[in-house]
Amino acid sequence: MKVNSKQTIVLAAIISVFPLAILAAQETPGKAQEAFCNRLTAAASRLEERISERYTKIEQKKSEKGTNFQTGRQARSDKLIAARDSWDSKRAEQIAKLEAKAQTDSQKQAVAAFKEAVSAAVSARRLAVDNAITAFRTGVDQLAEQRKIALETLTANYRSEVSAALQKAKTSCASGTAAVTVRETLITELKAARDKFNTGRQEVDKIGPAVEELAKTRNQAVAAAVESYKAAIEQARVDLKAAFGTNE
Amino acid sequence: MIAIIALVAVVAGVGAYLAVNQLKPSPEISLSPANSSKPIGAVDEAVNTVLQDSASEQALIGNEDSEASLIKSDDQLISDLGQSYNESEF
Repeated sequence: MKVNSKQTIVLAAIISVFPLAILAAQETPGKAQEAFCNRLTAAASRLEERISERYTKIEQKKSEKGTNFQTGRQARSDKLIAARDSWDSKRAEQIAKLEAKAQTDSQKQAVAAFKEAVSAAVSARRLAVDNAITAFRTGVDQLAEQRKIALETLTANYRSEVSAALQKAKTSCASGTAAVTVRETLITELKAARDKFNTGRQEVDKIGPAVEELAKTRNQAVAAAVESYKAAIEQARVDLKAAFGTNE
Repeated sequence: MIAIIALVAVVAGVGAYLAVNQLKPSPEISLSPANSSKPIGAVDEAVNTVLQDSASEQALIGNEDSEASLIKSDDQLISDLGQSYNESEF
């Protein structure tokens, strides 16, 4: 009887506790789900904020780049103009010396011809060089514009896909989908968005070799112009020496 | 007496040595490279000046290459955007 009494007490205790255990078992996952959903919402907000900040920095850089392109080009053009002015002065000094040195009519004519030949050669070279620079810059502008548009699409798609994945996760979470499932789906979708972004990025980065190709074309054009210039000047030297003598 | 004469001789010798070395011109340091080539005539001088233009111009045009790096100056920022999330956050 004593034993039975003890058994009864244990049984009663088990029976009284059992519903609580069932309730606890039901409530714990619910609380865990709620906690997960709260963490998810907070993490999603942080991620969206971070993406927004980084996107803003890219936009700022884009504007800064546009300004730097223009100021850089202007500075280089100004420097070239100033250098050309300086070279023109030095050339004029040298020709003045030759003019002073010319004694005979033949020498004077030779100096005049030299002056004309040099002037024509300089003009031809500068035109070719200017055209090469213009072609290079125009090509770079086109590539930069293509890159800008491609990146805008890429970043906008990335933002949109990340945002959609987060929204889906939050909705899914709120509707009671298991936290593990929500998390795995979200991670998979975020990774897919990132992979797509990185693949697109590799396409965009092909601009590097394209710019190098433009520079190569520019350098070849300039080199050809310089070679023609040198040939013309060497011929002018021969003609001038014929009038002044080889010792000059 | 001999010691005095010897001392005077030594002092005179040192004085003479210092005086001679002070007057000796110091070796001239040239700031320009030695020009061993023979002097060129007016024609060559003019032509060389004219040719120098093109070399200098070519060097200046190389500065255009800075555009390549400028185009991609946002590379890091774009990479950062692609690395915005961390799985451990979720």
